[in-house]
This record gives sequence, C-alpha cells and structure tokens, in this order.
Amino acid sequence: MSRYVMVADLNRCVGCQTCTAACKHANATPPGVQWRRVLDVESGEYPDVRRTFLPVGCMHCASPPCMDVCPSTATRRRDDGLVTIDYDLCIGCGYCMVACPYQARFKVASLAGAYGDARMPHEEARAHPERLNVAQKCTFCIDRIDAGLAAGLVPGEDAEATPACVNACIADALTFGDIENPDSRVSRLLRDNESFRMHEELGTDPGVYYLWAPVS
Amino acid sequence: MNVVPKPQAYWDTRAAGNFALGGAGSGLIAFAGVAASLGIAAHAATLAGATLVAAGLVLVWLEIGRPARFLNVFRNPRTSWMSREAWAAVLLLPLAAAGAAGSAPATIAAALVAVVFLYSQARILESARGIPAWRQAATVPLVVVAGATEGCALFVILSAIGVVASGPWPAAGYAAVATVLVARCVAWRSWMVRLETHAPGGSSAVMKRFEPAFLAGGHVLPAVVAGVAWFVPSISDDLLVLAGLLVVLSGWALKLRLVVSAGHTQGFALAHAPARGGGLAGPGARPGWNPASGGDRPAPERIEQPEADNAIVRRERT
Repeated sequence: MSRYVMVADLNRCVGCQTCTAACKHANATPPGVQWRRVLDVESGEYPDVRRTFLPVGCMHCASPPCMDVCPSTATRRRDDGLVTIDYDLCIGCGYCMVACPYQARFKVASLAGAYGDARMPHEEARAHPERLNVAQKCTFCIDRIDAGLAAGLVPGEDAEATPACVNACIADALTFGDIENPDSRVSRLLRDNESFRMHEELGTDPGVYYLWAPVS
Repeated sequence: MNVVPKPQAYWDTRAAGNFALGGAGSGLIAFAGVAASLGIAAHAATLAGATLVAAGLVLVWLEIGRPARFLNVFRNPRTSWMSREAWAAVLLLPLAAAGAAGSAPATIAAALVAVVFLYSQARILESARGIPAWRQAATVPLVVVAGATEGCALFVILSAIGVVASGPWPAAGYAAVATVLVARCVAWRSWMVRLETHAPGGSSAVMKRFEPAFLAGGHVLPAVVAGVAWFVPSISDDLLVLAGLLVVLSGWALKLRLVVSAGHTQGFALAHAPARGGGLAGPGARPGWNPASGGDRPAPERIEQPEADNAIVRRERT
C-alpha cells in the first residue's frame, strides 16, 4: 500500500514562492486562494533571531479531522493517503475549515478574477464554477498523479506524475513520493535527516514532513 | 501571510445564532418535558422551543455555501456531529409539534431528543480541532449547561407572563434558576481555566475582557433580581421576566463571543528552526501562544553541522 507524502527541507527553502505560483498556475485557483504557500516565520529574541521559510498547505493527514466532521461525506481519504473533496457533494458548511488545524481550506463566494467580475480570457477559460461556495484545498495535484500512474510513471520520480509545486521548486526543497517504499527519495531523506511534522500532537498524522538538520 | 492565530472567519453570527437559538430552544423543550412529566401543561414552552430551534437551523442554512444541497447534511451520522445534530432536529421538531398540540408523552420524548440535540451542538464545537478554544473537553459541559440555563430562564419568563402554568412555582422555580446559574458559572470557570493553558493568547484575551460583564450581568444581577422577587411578591413576575432576560441574553452573548470572537485558529508552529547558513539548528517557535501554553518551547539540543562551505566564507569575510 502506498502513502504519498511531501518532504520540505527547511534548510533549502528560500521563500521564493515559486511553488505558490506554480500551484496557482497548475490549479487555476482564484485570487486570495493559495493551496500552496510559503510562510515567513521569525523566531527568537534579539540578537539570537531566526527567519524560516515554511511551505504549508493541506497536510493530507492519515487521520484527517476535516473528514470526520464533514456532514456530507464530501471529504474522503484515498487508500494512497490523498485527502479529496467531492465538489458535487459539499454543502459549503465550513465545518472542515474550522476542523483543519493547518488553515489549508478555502471557500470563495465569487468567480471574480484578478481584476474583478470582468475576467480575463485565461481566467474565463480555466474558471472552476464547481468550486464556488464549497471547500477547496491542495490536492497534491491528484490529476497529475493519477494520469502518471495510469501511464506507468512513478509519482515523485517522474515529473509528469509529481505535484507542480515540487517540480517548480528552484532549491530542490520540496520532495514528493511514497513513504511506504523504503527506496523512495522521501524515505531516504527522512532516514538521513531530522524531521518533524506540524501539530503532530493533535493526532492528525500529517503527510508533510519538515527536515531541519542532517542526522548527526 | 500571518503565522499567528487569528479569529476564524469561516463561521459568522449566523452560525453563532444557531448555537444561541438552538441551545436555548432545546433547553426550553427539555424543561417543558420536565414540566410535562410533573403533570404541568407546557404546550407554549414546547412550541416556543421548537420555534427557536427551527430559527437557528434556518440561520445556519443561510450560511452554508450551497443551500440547495442541504439534504447532504444527513449523509455522515457515523462520524459527524453536524449530521447527528441534523438527525436529532428531524426527530425533535415533529415530536415538539405533537407536544405543543397537547401530547404530554410527545413533550417528554421531545425533551429527551432535545438533550441529544443540545449535546450534538456542544460536540460540534468540541470536534473542531482547528480551533483550540473550542476543542477543549470543557466546551461540552459549558455549551450544554448554557443551553439548559437559557432554557430554564425562558421557562421562567413564560411562567411569569402566564403563558405556561406555574405548577410548583415559585419554590421549585427559584431552586431551578439558582441551580442552573451556579452550574453555568462553574462550567464557565472550568472552561476559562483550560483556555488559559490550551488556547492562543488572543482567545483568552477576548474572553477575559468578556468575563466581568458576563458574570455580573448574567449571574450576579439576575440572582439579585430574583432574590428581590422572592421577597416582593407584588412585583415578582416583572422582576422574574427581567432576571430571565438577563440570563438568556448573557448566554447568547457568550455564544456570540465563543463562536465569532474567541475562535482563534491554531496558527503555525516550528518544532525546530532549521540549521540555515549559520550551521546550527535552533529552538522551535509557536507564535501567538502564551508561554504557559507551550508557546515557548524549550530549546532542543543544538546539533553541530558538518563543517560547511559557509564557515569558510565567514572566515574570509572577517
């Protein structure tokens, strides 16, 4: 059984937001919605201060709180670990949004584009009315994964079967793959580096790992 | 992008209205059931309670993004407390209607379902793992007791204006009001203690500002007014209406604060700061959380990085 996860090397991320832009390009998310984003975290006290760039999005949890609370069963979890939303079932109640500790879900009430109601041609061509007034979030580019698998490709190894943000990362900070495969790149990275997962104490079993130092 | 917890923007006053009206309505039906079991006719109370519950559900229907799909809310009673609340409402409203039409057994059955409905509302908040102020176990008794308190106060009001027969009133009524007021006060304090250590500083700050008015206006003042009513029977009905209104309105203010203002998100956290450039990993950070709640994590043991190229660069610069 596969479980697809993402590894973000905090030592490498430079906060360039290329992944954010790649995600918006790949998924045509509307203004104000960023399924993938990079936070700028300042910590410590002067003079010992630090600045960390933290890529966040849906963590594709193994125990997703959003799925448990969803009254419509629109949110589900596939056997390969991907948490999905059925836009045709979702009633847009927002319960999943308050249940997600990662602020990864969005709901928009308008199809307005970057310049208002008069959408530009490319916005018109890639509008997603099915996402209007329902929950939406990062899918790990599920369409790319499924199409890649159908073509015999390996997610995380072959770019065509890998999330757009990972492909776009200029610093090789983002890695995607099957954590159940000990030979996958994500498995090797997690063996060779110290890592943590955000808000792990909440019992969500998130699928995004952050590398913070090599194993000493 | 702000990394600190901030008030959730997903549920607004319409959702808070469902918790306020639904809580008070189900509490009122529960007390109507108690009255019915004692042989006191409480048809109007049952009807009023059902009306409040229905009004709350209409409010939340107005909030959902796809109102035409509202029937999908019933699809997941296996794990979702929102589905369970909806199913409880489906049972509650016809039973309450039958009770309002004069059936005492239906009123008692409606009261039992009303308790389930109220408990479901409490669990809806407690199951929202993204909002630390809500996910406390203490949220469940707070919301349940608050609903019962508001229902009791509404029953007192209906009795005082003569819509509902008073029965063993006033002694039993005064005892019930005193009991629910003390219970709400205890539930509130228990919840506040948990809030201090298990929620972002913003949540507890909001509720600390709210607490003096809530305790004084929603507990002390109604108790004083009810006490005066006890000793001055000639104006006791008017005073009891006033005391009841204070209790109900303070309870609704609590729901509004709880849902709209104090529902801060979890925020983001680093368990460790990475070993960027300088070659040393650093302590983690949880911005927006009080130190007492774990906001300042102890610094982990610093890990020496292998001699890196940047060390050479530093030497060259010096």
